[in-house]
Amino acid sequence: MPDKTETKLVEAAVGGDIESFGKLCRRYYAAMVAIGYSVLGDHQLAEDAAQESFARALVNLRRLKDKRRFAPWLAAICRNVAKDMVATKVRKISTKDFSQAAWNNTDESAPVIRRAIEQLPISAKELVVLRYYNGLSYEQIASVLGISQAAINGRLTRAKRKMAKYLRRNGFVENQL
Amino acid sequence: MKADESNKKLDELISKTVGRDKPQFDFDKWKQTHKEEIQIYKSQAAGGQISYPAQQYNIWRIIMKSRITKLAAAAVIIIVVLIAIHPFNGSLNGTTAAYAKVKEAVRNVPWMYISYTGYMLDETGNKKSEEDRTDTEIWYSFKSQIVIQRYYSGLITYSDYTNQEVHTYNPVSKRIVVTALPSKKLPLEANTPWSWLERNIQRMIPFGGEVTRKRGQYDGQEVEIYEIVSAVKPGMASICGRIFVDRSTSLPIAEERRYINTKTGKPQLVEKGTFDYPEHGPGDIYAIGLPRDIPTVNSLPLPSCWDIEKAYRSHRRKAPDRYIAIVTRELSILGSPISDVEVWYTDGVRFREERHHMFQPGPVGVQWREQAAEIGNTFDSILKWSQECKARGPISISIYDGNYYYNSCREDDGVWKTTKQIIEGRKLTANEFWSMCPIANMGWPEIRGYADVLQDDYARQNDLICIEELLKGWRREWIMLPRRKRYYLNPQRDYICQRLEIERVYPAPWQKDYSWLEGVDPATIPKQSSSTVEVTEFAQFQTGHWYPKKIKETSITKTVYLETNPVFPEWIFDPNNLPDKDE
Repeated sequence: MPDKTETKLVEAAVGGDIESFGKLCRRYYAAMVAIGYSVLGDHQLAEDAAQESFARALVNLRRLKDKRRFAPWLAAICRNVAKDMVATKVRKISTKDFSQAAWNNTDESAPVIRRAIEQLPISAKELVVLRYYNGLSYEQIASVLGISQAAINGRLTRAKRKMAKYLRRNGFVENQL
Repeated sequence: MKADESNKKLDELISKTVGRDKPQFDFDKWKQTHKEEIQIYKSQAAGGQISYPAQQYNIWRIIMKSRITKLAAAAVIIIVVLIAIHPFNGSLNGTTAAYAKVKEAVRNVPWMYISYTGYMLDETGNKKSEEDRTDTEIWYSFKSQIVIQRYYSGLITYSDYTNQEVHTYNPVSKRIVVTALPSKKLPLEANTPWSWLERNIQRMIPFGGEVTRKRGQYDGQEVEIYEIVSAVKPGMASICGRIFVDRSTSLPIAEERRYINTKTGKPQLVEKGTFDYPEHGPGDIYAIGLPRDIPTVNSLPLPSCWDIEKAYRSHRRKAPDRYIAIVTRELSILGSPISDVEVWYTDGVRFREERHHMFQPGPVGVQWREQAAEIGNTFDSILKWSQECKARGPISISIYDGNYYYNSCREDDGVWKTTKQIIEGRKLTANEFWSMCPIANMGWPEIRGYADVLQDDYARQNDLICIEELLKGWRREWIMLPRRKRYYLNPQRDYICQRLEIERVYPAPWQKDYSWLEGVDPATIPKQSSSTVEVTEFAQFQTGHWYPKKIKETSITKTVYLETNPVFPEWIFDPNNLPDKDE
């Protein structure tokens, strides 16, 4: 659940205080980039999606009914923006894009790990990216997704089990996991 | 214990693979790039009701921001620049390797030559007549700062940006006129081809659409194909454009555009262009294929006819949103009786136009004596007279309420007849009403053909600019002789055409082929003649903009009465109050 400060920030933003909206943006930028990344597989595009979702949120702020659910609402906007970007063929998003993204890691196991993430269902992939892409805490993820930390724990466990299974099938041995 | 702590090695593997530093968000920078949304937000907070732009617009903005599509945009801009149609929004910062590669490739070519061919298609998809062709050739030398354009009509412009001159070959007058270029920069005030393209993209408006890129072949060459498909806009053609870039050189080699009629879904105009990069280009205008003995007129330091016409048209368009204009026509006979009166009421998108003909058939003098006292000679008296419909001759009154056009007309038989019709398409604007208004037409008559800047003694002595337009004769139900029109523009008074001379000439040096008159009885060919229209008095709007107050023609004098701060009675724009019988 968001703290009182956040609710006050949302109320102030709805009331026309743009700087409060700015504080909310700063607070959730990393999470929105992660959500965008889970759909687009490209960091630059993910940042674009996050910034565009702020733009859409700003002009629709008065439509937000429950001020305590700002972050999940923003996350939903960001998901839609990212999906729109795929739908409008901004870039062909495929597993190939995800697996060939220009990450710094040069470990030989990295491509297999990336494929393991890619084969996850969309919601699980989003959760993994939120957790590991920018190292968000359970609390932050819970706030963004609007679900409890326990639920996050359960979903993440199941996602990692699927990943481990995939990795074992692709040559990883038990002591590597 | 948290689930992800149960297998720390897997956590480390995932973090190491996908993890990265937290991205930083610069809110101030974001505000700079989202001014429109902030304006809407502020308006909402203040209680306003501005609607949010269509979603397509935002996606388009993302397209243009995304690094992978910047290259596509850069290439597609070539399409847009060359036809100057359908611009779109965005910016190119040239930071990506792919974009830099194409940029560098084009920067280094000595000349770029583009040959366009275009043709209209009929409803069955067949080419229309040759008259509809839009073939154009363009040479660019960014190193020599030269741009040459040759059009299908024969018009050639050779713009030398180093020497600040443009040489224009007029295919009707068959002469070259040398004029000055307005600035020391390439078109769009850029100094390199790519900054030139960038300037174009910056001035473009969001148009919506999709950009895609794929590999393919063009004439057996491996190419990258960039395709832009514009969003469908009511009343506008949709564009499907493709540009082909040589993968080995990163240079564009061809492009094609199809303009789709959104009603039928079929292409109505097709344009294709091929690009070449020769080592050498034309050294002067004669190298395009003109004989060296063509007469040349030096009109330096005046700017080109194109630039003068641009200023002329911009002054023509300056109009008040609300006005009442009255134009009377006085005959050049004893007593200068008024023969007819036009009254224009304009209020934003609503307008009312009236034409009052003073006389019934018969002797004019008697009728005029009867009416002279009624009509008077002031704005108020003429307006009152017109509103009472006191003219003896026919009266026509039209109203446009933003959607429908109504007309009520009283013919010689004295009976009023009313009609109503829908004006299809978008609403007319106050500026469009102004362009129809007799004041605009008298002050800034349309220059339609190929014209040359050609100073003569009259222009020099009166500090005017002379533009000469030569028009070919034609034959339809009647015969129009070839004409020479000389427009004397007054740059000190908003380029008003202070004097217009029209000569009807036969035979004309600029139209030696008279096959169009074959079979015509020579007795029916009109005689040569000339006429002059001259503004003899000027006046100014409250804004300081000039307009013609009194215009003298061969047999009539027109007088303009203008009120730019009118109070309109509400019935003026009410079609239910159009007269249907005399009071």
